[in-house]
Amino acid sequence: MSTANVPEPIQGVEIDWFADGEVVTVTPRDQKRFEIQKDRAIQILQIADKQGKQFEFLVDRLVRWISDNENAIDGAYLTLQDGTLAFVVVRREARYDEDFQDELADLDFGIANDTELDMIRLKTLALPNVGPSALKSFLDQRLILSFHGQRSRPHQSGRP
Amino acid sequence: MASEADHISLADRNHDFLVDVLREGRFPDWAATVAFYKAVHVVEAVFAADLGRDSTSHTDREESLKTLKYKRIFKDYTHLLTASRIARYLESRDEGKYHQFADFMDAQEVNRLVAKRLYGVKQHSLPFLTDHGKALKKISPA
Repeated sequence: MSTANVPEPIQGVEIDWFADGEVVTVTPRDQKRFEIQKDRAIQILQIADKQGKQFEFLVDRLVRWISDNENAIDGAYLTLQDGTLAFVVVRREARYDEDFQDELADLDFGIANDTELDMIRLKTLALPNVGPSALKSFLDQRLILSFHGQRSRPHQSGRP
Repeated sequence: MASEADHISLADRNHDFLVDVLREGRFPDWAATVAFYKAVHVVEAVFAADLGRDSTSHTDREESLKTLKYKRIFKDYTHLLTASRIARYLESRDEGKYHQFADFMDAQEVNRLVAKRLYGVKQHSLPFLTDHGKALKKISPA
């Protein structure tokens, strides 16, 4: 007999397009209650849901690309630059790598033209092998997602 | 909005300085930066002639280039963009193999970058330019 705990059902709050009433009343944690048109609330939640799914899809895609190019990469970060997401890759070497730049440009172009990522705006940047203080100026502290390979590998120089 | 002719004129001014700074050979970082700004004006000339508009920012320009018809321009452009960003913003005294632009590219490599990637931006832009635009100053191919 299984002894696994059965999770308690999550109590949902339903906003039904066909329900009576045109306004949804929202009470946030700070109690600053506000009202919003029901159809507008549903539209916003649909967009948020789609954005969330696309972001997850983007991260999966970046992880696959990192894995394919692991030998050339010392660190990889998803951050913000100029109001868009930015994928910043720190290479293992200092010298210019023409093939690597082409690979990254192909990834960038592919993401921009992927219909499953039509809400994502992303720019890319390949940096030569730099230390943490130099890298820091390319990362926005409001969002830094750091990618680590499947293998546990100490990050030598690119740690922000 | 700046016209195609305006951008070609600015591209040519950058070209003249680029030729000087490449010949001089002491400032590969500046050569990479000027090469990028020549590419910026070539791309803006394309947008003026083909789309009838300017870019509002570097990000806006990059987004506009990520369409199928501009794909080859975009790929060459990214090499110049990356080199110029490294030249302008990356100097490091701490750990890591990179400390200054010379660790990334020397003068010969910048010459190759210009001869291949700036040349590529120009060549792939020609189909979108008017006859006036096509008369912009030429980079020799690799």
